[in-house]
Amino acid sequence: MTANVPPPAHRTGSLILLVAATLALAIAIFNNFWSGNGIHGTAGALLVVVSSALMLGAASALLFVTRIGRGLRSTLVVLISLDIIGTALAAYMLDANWLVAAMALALVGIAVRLTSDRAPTPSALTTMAQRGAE
Amino acid sequence: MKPLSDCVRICGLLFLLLVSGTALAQSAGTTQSAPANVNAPGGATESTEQPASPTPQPIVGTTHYDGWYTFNGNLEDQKYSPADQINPQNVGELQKVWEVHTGDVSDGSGKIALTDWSATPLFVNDTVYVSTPFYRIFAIAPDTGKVKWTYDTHSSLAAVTQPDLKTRGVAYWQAASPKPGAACQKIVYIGTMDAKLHAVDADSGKKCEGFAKDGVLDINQWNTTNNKWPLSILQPPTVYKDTLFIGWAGKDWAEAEAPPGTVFAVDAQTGRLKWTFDALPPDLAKTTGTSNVWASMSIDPERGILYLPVSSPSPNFYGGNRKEELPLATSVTALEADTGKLLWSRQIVHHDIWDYDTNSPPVLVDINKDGKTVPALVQSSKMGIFFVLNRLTGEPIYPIGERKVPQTDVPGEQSSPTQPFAATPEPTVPERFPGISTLADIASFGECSRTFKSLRYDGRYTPPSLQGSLAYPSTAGGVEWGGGAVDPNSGIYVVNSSYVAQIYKLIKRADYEQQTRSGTPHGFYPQTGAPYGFYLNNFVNFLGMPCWDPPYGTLSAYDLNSGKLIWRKPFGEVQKWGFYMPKSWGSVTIGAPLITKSGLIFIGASMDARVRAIDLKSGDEVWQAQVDAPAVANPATYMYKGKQYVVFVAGGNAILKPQASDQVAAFALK
Repeated sequence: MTANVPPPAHRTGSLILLVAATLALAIAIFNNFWSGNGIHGTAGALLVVVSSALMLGAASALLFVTRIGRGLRSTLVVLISLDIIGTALAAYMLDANWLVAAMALALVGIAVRLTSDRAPTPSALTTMAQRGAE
Repeated sequence: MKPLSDCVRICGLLFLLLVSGTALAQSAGTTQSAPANVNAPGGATESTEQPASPTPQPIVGTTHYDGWYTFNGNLEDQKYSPADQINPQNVGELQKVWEVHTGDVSDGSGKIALTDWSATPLFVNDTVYVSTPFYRIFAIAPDTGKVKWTYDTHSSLAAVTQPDLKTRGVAYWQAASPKPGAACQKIVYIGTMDAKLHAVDADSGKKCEGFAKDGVLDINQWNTTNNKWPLSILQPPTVYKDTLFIGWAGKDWAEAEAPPGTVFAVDAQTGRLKWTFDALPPDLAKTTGTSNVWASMSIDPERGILYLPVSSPSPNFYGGNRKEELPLATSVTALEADTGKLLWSRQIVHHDIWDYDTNSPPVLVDINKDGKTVPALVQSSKMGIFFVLNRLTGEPIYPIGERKVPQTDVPGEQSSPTQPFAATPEPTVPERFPGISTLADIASFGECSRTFKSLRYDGRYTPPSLQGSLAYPSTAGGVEWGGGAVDPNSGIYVVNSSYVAQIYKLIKRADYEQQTRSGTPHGFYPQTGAPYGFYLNNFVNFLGMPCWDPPYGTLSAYDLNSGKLIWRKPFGEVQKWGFYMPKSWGSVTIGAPLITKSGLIFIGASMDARVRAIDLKSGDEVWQAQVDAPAVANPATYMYKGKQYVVFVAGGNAILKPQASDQVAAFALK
């Protein structure tokens, strides 16, 4: 089942994503319940709580669930990317700057993952090395 | 060219619309709330009542106290402070130094109506005094925020004349030479929605038993014509020498025949009636009504002249029952303060059928015109037009012409062929409706365009019609009840203004009864006794988005010496579901600015529940802070023990958005 084990760069990207989503959820919850920020208790503040929670769930799946097919994994990455864009826009319109920063970090996580997709993975390198040896 | 941030917000809005299928934008506040107001006759009447005993000692009136001692800072309604500790260079360091939560707040979800808290905090007698929408007074230490005492009127918390519980503050009087140790030498007054005026000792918070009956004056004892609801004392009385001038608010849009809007002058210590004034002729008082004074009055203390912003007669949107000349209705009117004698009056709307009440305080300032000092009065209006008058004669300083206006096609109505118009200073609201918002139109699949085509619109003063008319500006303003502020040294006048389009539709009585048989839908108002009921609503699409192009609110500065506009900028931000819309849209505003000698403007007023400082010269925002609800009350500023404080009451107003709070917040340099 070597194919289902994320390569290290993927794991790094997913880890950044997980940290960003965790931060985002914490910030969103704080914003929703802290009464001095102008957005607490609003539909917009609740929306980003939900979107951050979904992001956290998806990031966790990418990182911890090994039995995910490549197609589903790619779908999750696309959905997370959309979530990041939507949450960042919503956060911008909520004037929730820390949440925008968390989304920027999440984008870094996605970028690291995508970059590692283009670079040869360790398993591929191993295979190439083996072939070269043959 | 729109700033990048605005483009991002608009893109974000489109994105969220696509994702959620719902609108995030609104502006003009979809919650329609009838503005406070009611009625008035044609002259002053000396009271025949006997003075209450004991007869008050003659008092040489104190007209100017130290501090922010009236609803508008001073008697001239200038909203100006000579304080200059906080200036454009250091205002960025302003911090909240104390706050008080009164506990008197309702979100309207329970038995108590929503609270609209618009009370200007007064600073006088080394104390901050503020009334709450539960009709209590808080006396607060000006430097620490510690509550010195509270006074409870135990008023009914029923919204008997207004949609919400409201107060715009307290009034203050003090004897010219207060007797040491004697009670009620300094008095704070609070009015209630059920027409009671309480007098309270400013030092102890105890009721002044010598005032009227056990410290409470029942204004409703004088409600003798068309008594259909109590005369609500929401605007604090104006105090001059030893007299209180009392206007009142009533229930708008409900009745064709309503109480005439009598102004009462009473003794500040005893509550004895001195004189009354009515803007409506006595013979017409029974068949119409209102033309009351529900907004703040002003006083020329040197000359002893009282200035009244007189509102429209009833019913508000149909004048078939009042075709006679009513020259004092919807006017600014000057009276001799001591007697109530009419000095002059200038009507700013003839035969008002738009509810264009004169709704803001006449601002008094001496201006320099052609090398001469002229005693001026600036009357702002819901139409966004400014009438700058010589306050001694009522004659215009900048020309006022009569302009032909669209005529009514409603059977029984007879509209005025012309209306007064002043081009200088430049009106805040443009001549023509700004056009349909593309964003709102697309989001509603063309609903805005279709509705617009179905309405009658012929420019300013398009009369209400049976087919439905577009009113722009509408009764929501233009300039609202806060009015403007002026720097008396430079003659710079600053005012916030809204841009709201509404739909006015008269409905034949039989049809109205049919449509409201199983309950009164939102936006329907009976005008009982008139041949037509009325429908009024903001021109918004089904998503609640305003159907007209922004801006929705601006802040403007004028040089009154030349009449020229110095700058005008979108002000505040529309907020819906927490999302802030582009800054270039501005926000509908309620409340007013103040000006300090150091060249700063402080203002809340906007929908986004932020309070701001603006550079008077440039109009640029130089400071902002978040408060708990829209700060629709006029702010106050004062010096105490060497430190300048700026105080905002953040209470909210349902016209902006359904958000209420009980917060009083003071800011100062640390």
